Amino acid sequence: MPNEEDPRVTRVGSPRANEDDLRVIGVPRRRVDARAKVTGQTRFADDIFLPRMAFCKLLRSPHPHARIRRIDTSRAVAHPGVYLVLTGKDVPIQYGILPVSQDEQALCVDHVRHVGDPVAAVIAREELTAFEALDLIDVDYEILTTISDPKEALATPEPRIHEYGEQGNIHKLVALEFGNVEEGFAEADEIFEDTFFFQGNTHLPIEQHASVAIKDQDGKLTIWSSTQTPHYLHRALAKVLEMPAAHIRVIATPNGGGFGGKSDPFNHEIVVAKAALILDRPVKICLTREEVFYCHRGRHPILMKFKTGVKKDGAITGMHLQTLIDGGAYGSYGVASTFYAGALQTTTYHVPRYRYQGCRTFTNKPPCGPKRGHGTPQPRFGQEVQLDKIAERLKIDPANLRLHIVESPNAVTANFFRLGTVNLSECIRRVVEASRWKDKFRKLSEGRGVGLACSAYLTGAGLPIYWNKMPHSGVQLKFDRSGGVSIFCGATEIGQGSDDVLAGIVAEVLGINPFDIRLFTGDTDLGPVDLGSYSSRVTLMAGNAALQAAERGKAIIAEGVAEKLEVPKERLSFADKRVFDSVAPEKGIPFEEAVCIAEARFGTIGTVGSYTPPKSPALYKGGGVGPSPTYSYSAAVVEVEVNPVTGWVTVPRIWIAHDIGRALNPTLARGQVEGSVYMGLGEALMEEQEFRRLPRKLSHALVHKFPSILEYKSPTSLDMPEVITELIEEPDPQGPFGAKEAGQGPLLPIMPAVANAVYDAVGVRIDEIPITPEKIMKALAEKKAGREPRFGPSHFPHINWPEALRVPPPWEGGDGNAVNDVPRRTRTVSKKEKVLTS
Amino acid sequence: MLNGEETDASFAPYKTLLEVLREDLGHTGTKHGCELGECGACAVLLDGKPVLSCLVLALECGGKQVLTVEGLGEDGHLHPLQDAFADLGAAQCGYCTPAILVTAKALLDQNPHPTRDQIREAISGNLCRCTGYLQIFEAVEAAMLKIADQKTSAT
Amino acid sequence: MMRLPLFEFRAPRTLEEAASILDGERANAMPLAGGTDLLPNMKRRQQVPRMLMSLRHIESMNCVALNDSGSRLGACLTLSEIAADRRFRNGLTALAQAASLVATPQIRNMATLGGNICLDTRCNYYDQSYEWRKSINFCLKKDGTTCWVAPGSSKCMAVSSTDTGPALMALGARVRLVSRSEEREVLLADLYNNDGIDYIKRRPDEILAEVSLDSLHGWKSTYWKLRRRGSFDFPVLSVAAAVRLRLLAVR
Repeated sequence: MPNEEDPRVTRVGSPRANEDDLRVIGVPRRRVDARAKVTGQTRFADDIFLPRMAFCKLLRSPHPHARIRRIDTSRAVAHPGVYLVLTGKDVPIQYGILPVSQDEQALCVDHVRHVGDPVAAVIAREELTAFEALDLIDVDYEILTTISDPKEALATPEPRIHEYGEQGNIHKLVALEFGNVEEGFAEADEIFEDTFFFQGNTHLPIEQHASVAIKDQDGKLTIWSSTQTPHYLHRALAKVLEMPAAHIRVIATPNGGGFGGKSDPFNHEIVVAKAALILDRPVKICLTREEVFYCHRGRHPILMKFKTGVKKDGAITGMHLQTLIDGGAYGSYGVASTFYAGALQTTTYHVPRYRYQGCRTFTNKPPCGPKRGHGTPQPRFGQEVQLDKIAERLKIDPANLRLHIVESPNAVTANFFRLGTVNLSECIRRVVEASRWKDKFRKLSEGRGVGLACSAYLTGAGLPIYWNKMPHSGVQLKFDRSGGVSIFCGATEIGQGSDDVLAGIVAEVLGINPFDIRLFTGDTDLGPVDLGSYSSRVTLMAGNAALQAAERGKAIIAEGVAEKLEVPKERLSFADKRVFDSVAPEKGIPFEEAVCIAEARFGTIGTVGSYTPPKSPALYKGGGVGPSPTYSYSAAVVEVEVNPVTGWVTVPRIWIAHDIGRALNPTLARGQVEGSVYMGLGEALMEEQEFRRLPRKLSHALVHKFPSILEYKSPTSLDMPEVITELIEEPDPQGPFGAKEAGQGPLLPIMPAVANAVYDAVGVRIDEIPITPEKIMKALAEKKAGREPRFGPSHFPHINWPEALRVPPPWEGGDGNAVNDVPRRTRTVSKKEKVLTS
Repeated sequence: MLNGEETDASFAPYKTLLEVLREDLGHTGTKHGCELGECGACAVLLDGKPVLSCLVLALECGGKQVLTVEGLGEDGHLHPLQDAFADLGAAQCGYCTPAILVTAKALLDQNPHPTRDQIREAISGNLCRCTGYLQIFEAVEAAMLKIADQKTSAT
Repeated sequence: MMRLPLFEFRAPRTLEEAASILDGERANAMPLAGGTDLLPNMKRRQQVPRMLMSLRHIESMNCVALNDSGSRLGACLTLSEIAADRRFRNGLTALAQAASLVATPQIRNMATLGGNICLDTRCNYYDQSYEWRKSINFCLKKDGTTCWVAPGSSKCMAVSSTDTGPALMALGARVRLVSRSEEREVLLADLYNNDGIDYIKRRPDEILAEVSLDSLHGWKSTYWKLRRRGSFDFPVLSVAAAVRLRLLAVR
C-alpha cells in the first residue's frame, strides 16, 4: 500500500517517480518481507527446532592471556545427558575472514588470547545440562603477561599474542604518502595539530548469534546461521572441516540486526557443524548476550593525530594522519580496518597531499572488526572536529568553509579513489537551511549549541575479501507461467531491506507487483554468490545484478510478445502487470500470458545477471581498501543542550541530509538514515566497550567491564531526538536506478556534529568519543581555571613507522602505482588465495 | 489461555514463560535478546499487561491469559498495529517487533489516544537497534487513528 | 540462552503457611514476588536458592489501605499499581514517582514494592555471570575473598539501588516483618545495614509483608532520579524529600 509522501522526508532535486514513469522505485511502500516480521513469522536462527536436536555450550577462557597445558574432559563426557565434548584438537585448522590473517581456531588448541576465547564445547540433550557440564572440564592454564592496550602492546613485544604480524605485538603497520606533505605544510598559512581518541564500541544487535547445523539426509552439512556473510562462512567451513564446499550448504537466516558483528566466520558456527557431523543429529547453539560481547568484532578504539595545513580561505594544502589502533586478540577484518582508517579523508574535501600512517596492535581483548562505518567513523570524527577548530581560527563559518573545499564529482582523489556523484554541497546547504544554522551558530544562549559535520561512505567495497576475478554478486531469475517471478541471490537480509531492494528492482523492470515475487536469498545452495551484507554493497551490487537479470528476461519476453502482437519490441512497455504497445496502450496482454508466449517460443526462461565493480585506479599495495563504485555523502546539524553545572547533554533535534542517489523505497531509506543517526548518537553519548584491568599486584585479570545490554548503554525511545531527514537524489550512473548507499553514511557525521555542538554550547572541546558528562565537567573546570578548555588525549606515542610507500597523486602525473618498491618480507602465500593487499 | 485458546503444556518446572512458549508450545514469535530483563524483546501480555516473559516462571501462568504476537490478528486479518508497522517502516530486522507490537496493543487498549510522549514512555522498555524508534511512534499513531476510525464506522 | 538452575517451588496461600515454610527452609528458600531481581541473579548464579516460594497467591500482601490516619500497603503491590493509583499523591507523591521511575514499564508491571525495598545490593563486580566472576576469581560478596572496589577493604562495597527505599524513608515508613515465631515492625530507615553483604535486617525466615505510613495529611513529597538513560537504568543518584509547610516554617 503506497504511503502518502512523507512531509518529513524531503527529496531534493530528485526526479519524481512519475517523471521517469517509475511505478515501484521511488514509491514509499511496505517492504516485501514486512508481513513476516510483524506476525513474528520471520524465522531467525534460534527459531529453528529440529527433531533430536542437541544443544551446544562453549567453555571460554577465564584468562586474558594464557597457554593451555592440559584439558581433561573426562568428567564432562561422563555427565548424564552429554553427547559429545570437543576441544581444539578436534578442529585445529586455522581460519579467519581475511586470507592474510587466518589466525583463529574454532577452539583454542594451546593459546588463549582474551577472556571469552573458546576452549571446549559440550553438546548435550538440554542446554542447561551442557552449561552444567562446562564446569566439569578441567583446564590447566599457564598464565602469560596481560597486554591491555596498544601502548602496552608497543612496549611488550614478548610474549607475542600471535606468531605473525609486523613484529612483537604489532599486527600491522601502514605508511602511505600521496604527494610531498612537507611541501604542503610549507605552503600553508596555518597548521593545525590535534589529537583525538575514539573509544571502542560494539554492534549490540538485539538478536544474539545463533546457529543450527545438521547432517542432512544426503550426508551433507547444512547450517543455518545468523550471519551476514554466508559465502565467506561457506569457505571457512570447507577449509576447517576439510570437506568439499559442494557438500556444505550455508543458509543465512534473516539477521536480527548485524551492523558488522555477524560478518566473520565464528567459532560457534564451526563447532556446531563439526558436532552435527560427528553426532549425526542437529546441533544448535545460541549465544548469551555476554558471549556476543566476546565475539565482538566491533569498532576499533583509535588514537589519532591529525596535522593539517590550510590556506586562509580554508583550502587544505596537506594532511598527515597517524593512527594507533587497538585490534584486540585476533586479526578479523583488522588489516582492512587499518587501511580504512586512512582511506576516506580525501573523499569529502579536496586534499592535494596526504600522508597516512597506521598501526594496529594485538591486545588481550575480544577482537575488533567491522562496525557500521568500518574504521572510517573514528578519523571522520577527528577530521570534522579539527575542521571546526580550523573554521574558528580562520574566522569562517564551518558550513561555508566546507562548501569552499568540497571535492568535485567524478574526481580521482590523492589516494586514487574515483568518486561518482558528489552532492555534499547540496547536503550542507539543506541542513544549514532546515536547521536555521545561521541564526543559531554561536548565537544561542549559554548551554545551547549547534554543530555541523559531514561524511562520506563507500557504496560497496571495490575489492572482494579474497582476491578473484569473479562477480561480486549474482542473481538468477525464474519466470513462472503464473506471472510470478522467483529471485535467487546470495544477498543476506539483515534488516536493511535487501530482499525489498531486489524485489523492487525486478518488479519495476518487468512491470509487476513486488508482492508477486518470491525471494530465495542468503542460501549458498539456491542462489549465486553474493559476497554478503557488508560495506553497504547490496543495493548497488546485488541490485545491479538483479537489474541485469531482469532486463535480460524482459528482452526475451519482449521478443516473444513483439512477434505475437506484431509490434516492434522497442515499443513494448512493461507496466501494471501488462506488456503493451506504448503507442497504443490498449493493445497488450497480461504479463503471465507474455511469459507463456515467450516460454512457448524459446523454451524455459531463466536469466542471470551479475555485477563486478569497475577496476580501481588505486594500484599501489593497500589500494585495495577504499575504492568503491561510488560514494554517498551526508551532512548533519545537531542541536544540543548542555547543563553547564553537571555536563549533562540532551539532544532535542538533528537535521540530516543524505546524498543517496535514488531512494529505491523511501520508507526504508528513511529508516536507514534515522537508524544510522540513532546509532551515531548512541556512540556519541553513551556506547563504550570498556575493559577493566584489575590491580596488577592482585590479579592478571582483564575483563569486559559491562558485558550486558543493561550496562552497555544504547539509547531508548526516551533518548531519541526529533530527526528531520532530507534525501538528496541525483541518480548516480553506477547504482541501479541511480541508487547509492544509506545504511552507514548517515551515522558518520553525528559524533563530530555532537562534539562541535557541545563546543558551541559551553565552549569546551571534547576531543574524545563518547562525550560524557564527566568529560564535559572536567573540561569546564579547565576552562574555569584559565587552562585549555578541552578534554582529550594530549600525546601520540612515538612509533617506528616503516618507510612510506610513495604514490604520486593524479595531479603530479601519478598512475596509481607506488614509485618506490618497498621490499616485501618473505611470506608464505597460499597457492589458492592471494592476499588482499598485494 | 494462550492467544484466546485453552492450552495445556507440559514442561520442565525451571522454565520461564519465554522458554515454554518458544520450545514447548512452538510459538517462536516471542524473541529474546538477553534473558535478564534488560532489553524488552521477550515482552508478552499477561492478563492484558506487558511483562517480560524471560522473568516469568511458566509455573505461575496457570489460569492466566497470555497474548503473544501470534495472537494479535483477528479473523485472519492483521491487527491495525501490524498493518501500520508493516506499511510505515516500523520493522527493519523485525526482531524487537513482536514485543513492541504487544506492548503497543496494551497501550492502545488502555489509552486509545496516547500522545507521542505517552507512546515513547510505553515502549521505553523495548530496545531497538535498527529504526531509531521514530517510524515506530508514527506507526502506533497511525494504528491509533485506524482503530478509532474502525470504531466510528462500526457504530 | 541463559537458563535458570533447578529449584523446588512452593506457592503458599497464607502468610502463616509462607512463614512456616521459611522456618523450615531458612536460607535454602527465597521468597519470590515479581522475580525481576531474583531471577536474573539466579540465571547468573549469584543467588541459587534450592527453593523458590511464591508470595503472589497471598491475598493479604496485595491489599491497599489509604486513610487520613495512615496507610498500609501490601508488599506485593506492583510498582505499576502504585505509580498509576491516583490516591498516591501529595504526601505519597514521592513513592508514586519512585515507583514510576524504576526500570521499564514491563518490569514495573511485575516488580513489587517489597521486592524493590529488599533489592539485592549491586556492584559491577557482582552483577555479572558466573563465568565473568570466575575470571576475577569471584569477590567478597560471593565466593571470593577480595572486594574489587576497594581491595584493601574488609567490607563489601556493593550498594543499594532501590528507588522506593529513599522515597519511603523520607516519608517515615515502617515495614512489618513476619516469621513463624514473631511479627515485628521496623522503621524502614533502620532496616538497612551499611554493608554490601549483610545489607538488610530481614532474616531469611522473615517475610516483608507490609509497609505502613503514618498520616501524611498536609505533606508534600517528591523523588528525583539521575540516570544515564531515560529508562532501564538503576539510579546513579537519587533524592527523596518530604516537607510539610506550615505558614512560614518548613519542618
